[in-house]
Amino acid sequence: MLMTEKDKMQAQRTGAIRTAWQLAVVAVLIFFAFILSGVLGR
Amino acid sequence: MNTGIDEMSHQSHETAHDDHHDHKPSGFLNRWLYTTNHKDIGTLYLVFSLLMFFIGGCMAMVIRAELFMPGLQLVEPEFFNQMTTMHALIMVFGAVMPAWVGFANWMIPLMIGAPDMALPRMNNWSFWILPFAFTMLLSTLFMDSGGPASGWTLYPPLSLQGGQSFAFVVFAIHMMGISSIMGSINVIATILNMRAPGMTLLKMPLFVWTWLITAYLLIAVMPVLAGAVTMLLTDHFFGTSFFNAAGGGDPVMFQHIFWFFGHPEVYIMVLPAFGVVSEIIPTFSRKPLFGYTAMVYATASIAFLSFIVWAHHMFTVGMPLTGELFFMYSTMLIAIPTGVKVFNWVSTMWKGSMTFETPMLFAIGFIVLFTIGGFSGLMLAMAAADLQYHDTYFVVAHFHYVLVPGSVFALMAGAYYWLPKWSGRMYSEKWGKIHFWLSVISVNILFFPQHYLGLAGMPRRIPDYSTQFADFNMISSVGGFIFGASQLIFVGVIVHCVYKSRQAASGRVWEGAKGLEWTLSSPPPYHSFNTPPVIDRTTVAHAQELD
Repeated sequence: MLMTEKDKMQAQRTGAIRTAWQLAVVAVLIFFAFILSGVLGR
Repeated sequence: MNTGIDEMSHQSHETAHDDHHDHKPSGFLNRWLYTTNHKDIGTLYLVFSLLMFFIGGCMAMVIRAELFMPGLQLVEPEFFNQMTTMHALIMVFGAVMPAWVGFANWMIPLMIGAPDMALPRMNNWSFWILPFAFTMLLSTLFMDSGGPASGWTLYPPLSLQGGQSFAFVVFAIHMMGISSIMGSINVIATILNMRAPGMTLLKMPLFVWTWLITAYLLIAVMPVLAGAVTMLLTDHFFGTSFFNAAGGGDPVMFQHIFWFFGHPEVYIMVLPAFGVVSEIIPTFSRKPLFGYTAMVYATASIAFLSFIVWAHHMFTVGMPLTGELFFMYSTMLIAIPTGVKVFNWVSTMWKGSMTFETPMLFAIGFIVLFTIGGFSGLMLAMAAADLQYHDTYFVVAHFHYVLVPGSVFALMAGAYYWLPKWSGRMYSEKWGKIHFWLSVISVNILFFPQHYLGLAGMPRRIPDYSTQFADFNMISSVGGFIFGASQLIFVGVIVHCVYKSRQAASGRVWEGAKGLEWTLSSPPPYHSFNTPPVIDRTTVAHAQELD
């Protein structure tokens, strides 16, 4: 089945939001990893 | 309205769109405070960064005025230290980084054929956090304990000896970091998800590539800075001892964590500059970029290497010989991909039909002067030699060559290159060239003598100095005043172009320009590429890559 323009835009938007969440989670994990490095490294 | 997009010209298509969809929100607040339009947000970032550039520049003028002669003339030493610290924080986080985000906002959707950034509301947030962050940072100058005075590196234990205002500094840095991370997430989400059909990764313009890699760097290292300053905050106010030796902490650990952020940060400010120069050189050489794919891999290599060189900033702190050797050689390795880039820019110009409009002048100035900064970086990379250079004006000369005639010249080049596209009018080429020549001469008068000061042993971050350093300091200060005043011409050129210029810009402003952004009218419609453009040889800048 061919995707309509609206379907394509919706797919783009879903993909963008998924990418954003993945990157946000990575950023938060890095933040806590370095705090942990401070706790363990002292 | 067109129906068959494959045979129409983009120009007529966008003009048709212009008729129907070019509705800007009415009212100042609606247009600028609530905007989700990538062009408006790009403009906000650029105006904000220009303002910060002048605030940080005024602080630089205070520094150079105090250093004009030996002795204490104008300001107290404590205030001098606040000026050096705030100048750096404002220039790095308030001027250069937001300026590149402004370019990204304006140009990435236009270059990849996307209607807007992927997450427009978050885009609005990313920008509007910044004025609050910098208001908070600047407000510390008016507090009893004054602004931060430990240098932008915020090394403990010195930074922990500041007063209550330190909490404001930390919170401001947190907000800048959140803004940068949100901006980067938006850039990556846009590039990975919003490209027009046919715009494969290896057809993207170099500016888009460099920003994609920069955005990954930002997401990787801004949380590291946030973590470091959070630990400073708890050490200062909540009695922890992450970096307090008296409580069992380790101040050197802060330096490792800070520079794990700090070195990639240098490339965050420089990689987009590489991208802009890679757009401008081919346009005014009327040749495709030499070695497009090599440029992409060189950018990625520089980004990778930037994570494994951090301790070259702390050779004198004392570390095992193997550590010194590792960081020395890994740092020198960066010269290889950087050399690839310089070679490719020069090869692009080789036998090209070159013309020297203002963007090209700034781009060539960038290549020559950035390379000088690169060479002094190689000198600093040598662990043995660095024991002498460390914390002297040689370091100040080095990183200012990388950042001012490096990053800032590329920003100027990009601004002159795309200003006609953004505004729909041509700027004054005569005044642009006057701006360039004054800048390029004065920036060398400003920073080149600082190499000699450093080699002769003048320490950085001091308000007074031995009389043996007087002559070079006076020359440097004169250069600084001329450079600072020259930037007023830049503002004049922009204001004249936007409000007064009568010369309309065509869609393809520059004869040799290629890329999707040049298929649109100047200025582009408020909502562009609502229908994806067709990617073909006439629109992609590096047509040979399509073979």
